[in-house]
Amino acid sequence: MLRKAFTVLVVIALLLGGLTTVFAATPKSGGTLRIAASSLQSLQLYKTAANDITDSQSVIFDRLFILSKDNFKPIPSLAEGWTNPNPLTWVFSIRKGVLFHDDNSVFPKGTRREVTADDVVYSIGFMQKTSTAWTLGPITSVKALDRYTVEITTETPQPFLVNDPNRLCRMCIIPKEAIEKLGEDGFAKHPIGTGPYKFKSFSPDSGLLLVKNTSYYLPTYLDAVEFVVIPDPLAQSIALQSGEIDIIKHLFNLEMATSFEKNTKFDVVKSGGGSYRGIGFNTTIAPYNNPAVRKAISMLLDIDTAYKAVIGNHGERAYGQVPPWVPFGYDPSLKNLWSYDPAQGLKILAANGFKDQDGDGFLELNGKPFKIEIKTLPGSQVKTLTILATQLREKGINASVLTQDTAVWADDLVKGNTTVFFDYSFAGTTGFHSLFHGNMIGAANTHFYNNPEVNRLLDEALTKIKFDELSTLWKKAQRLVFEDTVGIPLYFEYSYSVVSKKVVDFVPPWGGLTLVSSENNVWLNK
Amino acid sequence: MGKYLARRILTTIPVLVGISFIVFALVSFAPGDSISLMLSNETVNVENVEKLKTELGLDRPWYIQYVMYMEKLLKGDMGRSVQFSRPVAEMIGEKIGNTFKLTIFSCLVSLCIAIPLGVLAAARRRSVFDYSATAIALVGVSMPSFYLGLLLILFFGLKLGWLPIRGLPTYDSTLFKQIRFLILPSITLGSSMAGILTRLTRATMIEALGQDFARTARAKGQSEIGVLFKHAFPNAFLPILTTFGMQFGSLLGGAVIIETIFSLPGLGMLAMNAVKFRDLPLIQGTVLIFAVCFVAVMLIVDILYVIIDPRIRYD
Repeated sequence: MLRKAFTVLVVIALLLGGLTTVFAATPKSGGTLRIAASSLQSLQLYKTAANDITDSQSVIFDRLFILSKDNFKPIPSLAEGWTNPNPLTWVFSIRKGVLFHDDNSVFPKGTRREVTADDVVYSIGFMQKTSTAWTLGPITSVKALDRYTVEITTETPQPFLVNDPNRLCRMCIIPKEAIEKLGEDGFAKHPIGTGPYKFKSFSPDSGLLLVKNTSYYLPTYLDAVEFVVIPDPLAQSIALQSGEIDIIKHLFNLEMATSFEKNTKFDVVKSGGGSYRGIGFNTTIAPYNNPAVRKAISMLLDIDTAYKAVIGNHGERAYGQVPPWVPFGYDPSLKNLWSYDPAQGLKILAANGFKDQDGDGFLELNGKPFKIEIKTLPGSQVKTLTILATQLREKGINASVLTQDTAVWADDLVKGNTTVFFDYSFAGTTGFHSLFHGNMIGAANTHFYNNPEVNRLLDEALTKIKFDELSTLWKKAQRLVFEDTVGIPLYFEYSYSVVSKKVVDFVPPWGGLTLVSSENNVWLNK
Repeated sequence: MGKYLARRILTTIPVLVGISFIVFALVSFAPGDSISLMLSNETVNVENVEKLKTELGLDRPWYIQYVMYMEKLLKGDMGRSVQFSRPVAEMIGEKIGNTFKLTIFSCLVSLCIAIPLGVLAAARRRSVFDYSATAIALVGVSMPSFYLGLLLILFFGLKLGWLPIRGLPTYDSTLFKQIRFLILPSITLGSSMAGILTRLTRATMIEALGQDFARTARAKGQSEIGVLFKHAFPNAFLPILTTFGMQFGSLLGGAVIIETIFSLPGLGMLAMNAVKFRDLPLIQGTVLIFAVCFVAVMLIVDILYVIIDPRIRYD
């Protein structure tokens, strides 16, 4: 009898548990999602790569495709699909029945217009003409084949056109008549897109309010989305805890990640991406123009100890620039390039003219004082670099870290006024190209590294449609760069969003913020 | 008075030109550059950035850029922000009201604290009240505003949950709602001024209360409150007003930090972002507006002198 009753109770409990799960998983409509932003000064398209601006735009505007949350490969959005009839041609099929937002000065209430291939052609042209933040690469023509088909042709095969989170993936579909009527400045004050949430009001550096686009081709659960500007990271954290906001999209302070992980009211969501962090050399300035010296310095650094002490489990050791989560170019075999061998490092330095001649405990180079000053911008890496500089001092190299204002740091790097520097990139698909290709000297290649073989491999890789071919070339180039010790990879730092428990189905931004897609649809479980 | 005003207004022109020149030169010679910052970004469109550089004249020597800037300024054009590609005048126009709200509220907060505290401390000299007022003033002057701001946010915003931690509501903001949002930033910004003015009010009131006219008023049967507010305070007010005018400038400067802590979108926050990005036209614009505000306040203080003390004549 008891056994029977127990079985019945177990069955009831299981049923209730199952029902609870079913109810918990059923999306609820309503509520306003409040997202913290550090700065939101303007909604001008393509003028800045600042996360907050581009994230808010990616909710107002649709893009042809977005990057999958699982593997960063492109998945359909406004384009239902695309084909490559030949390596130089991309044909996109536009989703039918997608409408521009109404209830504005261009499309009065109830007079919506359908998006056509002409809008895509116009939007690509607009981006090419006005963008300082992003580039689309060598596009030769864009034309509408019919009402819903667009053809893009390129000079050379361009796989990155769709694989890179910072190229076509950033292109917002805009209506031509709105730009013509409002002008660029006017359009930025009242953007009109086709995205899941439409513009309601904007107060620069205060907030942006978007409301539900009831005609969106996918269900939209939230009544409104509000971007709340709170510049100070600590104030953002307090606002989240006090309930004034629901999400911090980009948590830059790793100590806060640890603290939020312990708080049961919030989820710390790891982004699929992250950033590359290393030490870079200006390869044109002595003694760093000597690969042997660069190599020797790398051998004096106990990188594992340094980065683990600072970032703990919020990152992983890097042996090259491409991280494991990028679908090509990650090369774990690069590990064999790096060894902590101070004795060998000092031996190489001695062979290259480094000697402590005055007995002060620091090496001189050909009799002259030698000093390494690692220039960096503020951030979590300063502590790691300080530990590494201390390690160098212990080995007899007079090393220090100079933390600079970001604009000064960037200016010194771009103009070649820096010898050793904190090197970072978003570890995206083309970050490696920007940092080390000879064509990018004077811009992101602050190593002033110009290796014709690396340039050739990268140029060839950029034309490979197949990932395995691309990956092989990328790995070869990467190996050459790090055999030359142009930089010393330190670690990949994870990026996080902190989300209130009531927010369901949030995906950290990558190539824009996606609140509604075929993969996720954010709602509030109040 | 009219002649004086005209002269004062005319003399502000070279002051403002001088300020604009110094700021332009300082920013031009300071390390860091907005175009380099754009170029260092791995996603940059190098071609369009170079085009922008030429369009804005940033490839020319700094003195040529200055002449170009002044030419435009005389036509009422403050230029376009390099970072945001928006007209500087429009960006300033959006923010200036918030900074005025903050500074005016901070002035009110500091005057409401400083005048009664200072007067009463002087009237009850060497009492517990006097010592308490002096201690409060000392804390106000000594505590860094950013620290006080964070403490207030943590206590009233997070712990008690009484007040919003941001400077202004974004939407549907009634006057009452705006005042509620402004309480914490105004106390933070006004605390230092309140401390200075409390000490000054106390000192000048003690001096005034010891003067012959105060003694005569008491001898003629005037009540103590009457002596305080009818005789001593008007005489003590001129130095307070002068200091108040001078302190207004520091309030504008303090707004840069307070606006950032309290996420209050004002001129200070705009200036801070402009400096971070080395956005020269935006830096020039915000500094010029700060300068104009300061000069205008000093002019108003001069005019108030005449109203408060009719013996003062500028002609």
